Amino acid sequence: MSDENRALQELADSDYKYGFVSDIEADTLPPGLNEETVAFISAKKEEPAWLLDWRMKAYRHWLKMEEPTWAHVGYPPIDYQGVSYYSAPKSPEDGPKSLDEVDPELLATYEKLGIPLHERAALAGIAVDAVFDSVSVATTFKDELSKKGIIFGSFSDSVKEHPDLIRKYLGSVVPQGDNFFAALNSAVFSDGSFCYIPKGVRCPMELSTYFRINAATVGQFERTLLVADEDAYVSYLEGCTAPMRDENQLHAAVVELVALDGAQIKYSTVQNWYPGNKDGVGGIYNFVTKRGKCMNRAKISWTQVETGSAITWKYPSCILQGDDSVGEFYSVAMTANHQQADTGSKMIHIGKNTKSHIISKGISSGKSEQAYRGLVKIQRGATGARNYSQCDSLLLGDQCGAHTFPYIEVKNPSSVVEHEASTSKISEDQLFYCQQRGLSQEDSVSMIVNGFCKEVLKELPMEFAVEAQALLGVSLEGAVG
Amino acid sequence: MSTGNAMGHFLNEIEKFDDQQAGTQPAWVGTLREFAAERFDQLGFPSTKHEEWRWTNISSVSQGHFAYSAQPANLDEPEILRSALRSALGEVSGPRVVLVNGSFSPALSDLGANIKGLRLLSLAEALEESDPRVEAHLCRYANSNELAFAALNTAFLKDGAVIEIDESACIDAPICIVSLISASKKSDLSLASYPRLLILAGSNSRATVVESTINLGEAESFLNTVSEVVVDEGASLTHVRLQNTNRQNLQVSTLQARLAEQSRYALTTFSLGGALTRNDLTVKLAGPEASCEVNGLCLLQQKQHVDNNVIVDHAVPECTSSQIFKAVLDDESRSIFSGKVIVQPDAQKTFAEQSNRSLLLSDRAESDSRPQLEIYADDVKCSHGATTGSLNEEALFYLRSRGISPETARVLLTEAFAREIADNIELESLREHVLQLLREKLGEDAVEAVA
Repeated sequence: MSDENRALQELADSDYKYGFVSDIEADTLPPGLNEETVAFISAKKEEPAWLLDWRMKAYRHWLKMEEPTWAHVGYPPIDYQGVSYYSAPKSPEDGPKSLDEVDPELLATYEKLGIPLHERAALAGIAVDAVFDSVSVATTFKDELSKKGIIFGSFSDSVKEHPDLIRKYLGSVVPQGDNFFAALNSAVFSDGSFCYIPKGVRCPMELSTYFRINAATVGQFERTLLVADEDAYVSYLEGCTAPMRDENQLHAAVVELVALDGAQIKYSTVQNWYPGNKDGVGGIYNFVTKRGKCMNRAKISWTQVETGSAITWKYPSCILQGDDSVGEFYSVAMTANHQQADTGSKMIHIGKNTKSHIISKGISSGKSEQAYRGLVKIQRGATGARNYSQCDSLLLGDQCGAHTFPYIEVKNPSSVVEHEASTSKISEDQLFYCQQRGLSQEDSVSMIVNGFCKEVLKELPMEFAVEAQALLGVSLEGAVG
Repeated sequence: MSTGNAMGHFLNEIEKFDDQQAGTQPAWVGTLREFAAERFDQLGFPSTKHEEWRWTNISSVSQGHFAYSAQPANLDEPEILRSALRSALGEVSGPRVVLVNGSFSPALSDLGANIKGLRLLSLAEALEESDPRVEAHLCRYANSNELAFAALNTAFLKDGAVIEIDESACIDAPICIVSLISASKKSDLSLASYPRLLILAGSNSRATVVESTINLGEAESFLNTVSEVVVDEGASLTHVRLQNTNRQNLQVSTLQARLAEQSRYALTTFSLGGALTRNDLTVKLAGPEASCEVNGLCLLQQKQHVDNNVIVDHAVPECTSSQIFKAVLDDESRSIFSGKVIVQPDAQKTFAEQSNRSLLLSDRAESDSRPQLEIYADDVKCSHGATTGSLNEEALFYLRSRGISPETARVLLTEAFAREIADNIELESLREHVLQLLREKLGEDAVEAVA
């Protein structure tokens, strides 16, 4: 066994740092899914009739769909009737008016996660719409944002306060019947975030939402809708950790971004859901649909650091509909033990002179399987379109898998599309070079991996870069003993 | 799956064929055919919902009325056939098997009986005498169980060519397999043929095989071929396939190669003709230190459609593979490249490269590319790249600033792009023949552009 392998073994043995369960009474719906479940959720949220219809349409469509099997992942069949579709923390009706009223246990949970909500929000200048299970319990900085006309809040509140905006944009990027998991989400989504940046406004702070799954066997069905009006700018951060759990939990979120003419959206994710233990027991099933639509001169940039989840199925995409729009995707995915990840990006070039850039870095170790799956599509009218994709994989250990499945469809001769990918392990030469300069093996590997991911990490906002590096650091700590 | 009607037509054809063969073939061949027919019935034609067929719709095959015919037409006009041979092979000369509509033509073939270490014969003959080597290898690699078109071909197992190269034999002359498709326009049913090729390269042997497929006349036809290639220890086999059929030809070919220790296999395919061409090329590196090159060039115009689906399977350690596929696409043509490199667990020290480059000359052409890596071992070096674009404006400007007309400049640059694949051919006569074909096809473009 080489040093590396031994190190990886140690990584595998280390416990999930964020694995704990908070004991909060939840108002949970019994497992099962039918039209009544959908109606119950809608009623619970006091939603208008059009939204209930919208959910029903999604549900009926979902019934006709088949679960996709093309992804390079394997898992036992999911019993969709065995999942509970609604769970809200106790007494949401007379919910907290301010941080002081928030359930102390809940706040303690955030403390354990290293998110001291009030302090951190104040110090870092971040507005946190914290999602705990399914109902938003605390929203900060809302006032400050509202002065600029920015709407940022939980999805259910926004439905009541800004029904016109929601009605206009909900499903405009990811329609109800888009795919199996998006349809499921559309039918039963519990809550999420809504954000609207008015014309010409530059959002003064990084917006962020912390997701967290808590009550047992409750699937999270988050819905995020982010609209940046003309020439607006917003940077949105999303991060998640989940407590230790033995049963697989289903998570099917939908994120929709709308960037109108000249708008810019930067969406960053650090995903650290519970990945299951070293034998592959437990862990989150993460089936996410993320898509953005760019109008003229708009830009959407996805950055993600994926270290968690037993199964990740996620393809943040950009529809470059307007002329001169830009789509970017930067990803670092790290899988260990029995984790499986099938992730990548889709760039659909429709407008003229549209540009897209994909950088994907995969690191697999243990018995994990990782796949990059991406689509670059240049439509007939996308004159002058340009794409560059680079997908590199680093293999740590001889039992893991790294796969690359890019799809490239080009219908316009004036476009230039390039794709490059490589797969290798850390070379003995690189290690030797570092070590003969006096670095320990641990530091050497850490340095090489950090260098490997640097291109992506530098795209993260400062606050997140720290967290991301820490996350990779934790994994590597184990990896090199 | 396609409709019952279309399957029904092909199943009827299989039944008719089966009746004709009653008692003429050894029992083991009948068993192979029977199994394949059954599997074909179960598998059905693949649809675009199959991941491997997502970009190629073969309804023109499944909905077509193609009839198996063992009756070669035009055989009474030797002059036409001789000129067809010339256009198939150019100045390349060597022992050859000529198949007319999939059936062996003794009159046109030259089996090179005096060449030491080579046994070249028709498949029908090999089956008749139950050649033990043929029996041991036939249908062992091309998977009737999973591939519908391999099953369809096997259901019509009757004729084709067998190349057996003895241990340590070095065959200097290229071994040629010419497939002539000669369909008569008068018939209501279009012609279908199902030839089969088996190449057995003995250990430490060395040989070059040239396959060329062309049409006589402009009638519609369907060609479904299966080739099985076995390269034994230390052998080196070069295999060039030249497809220059008419614009009414539909073709689905399956090629499966198996490479033993320290062997080398170089496969190059040129797709110039045909309305729809699908090549399923699979190379399995089954012995350590084996190496393979799989290269291809598509030069397409009008509504031509070529789909190259390549799988290189690294099953054991220390093997090397490389793939280069290029496409030049004009008018409304479309090329598809799906290349997969699989590195099996424990296939350490693998080195694999894959590259796909497409040149779009028209705003109605389309290039689809899916270069894939599936890697289950860590000590490997695998890379792939894909690019799609048009001619470099600066290079065009440079040539024009030197007084070269835009049309000529385009042809020059396009030829430079395309000839990389042809330049790799070692055999001079063949290289010249291929380059000549490329020039003819590109020259046509230039004339059209001026007009």
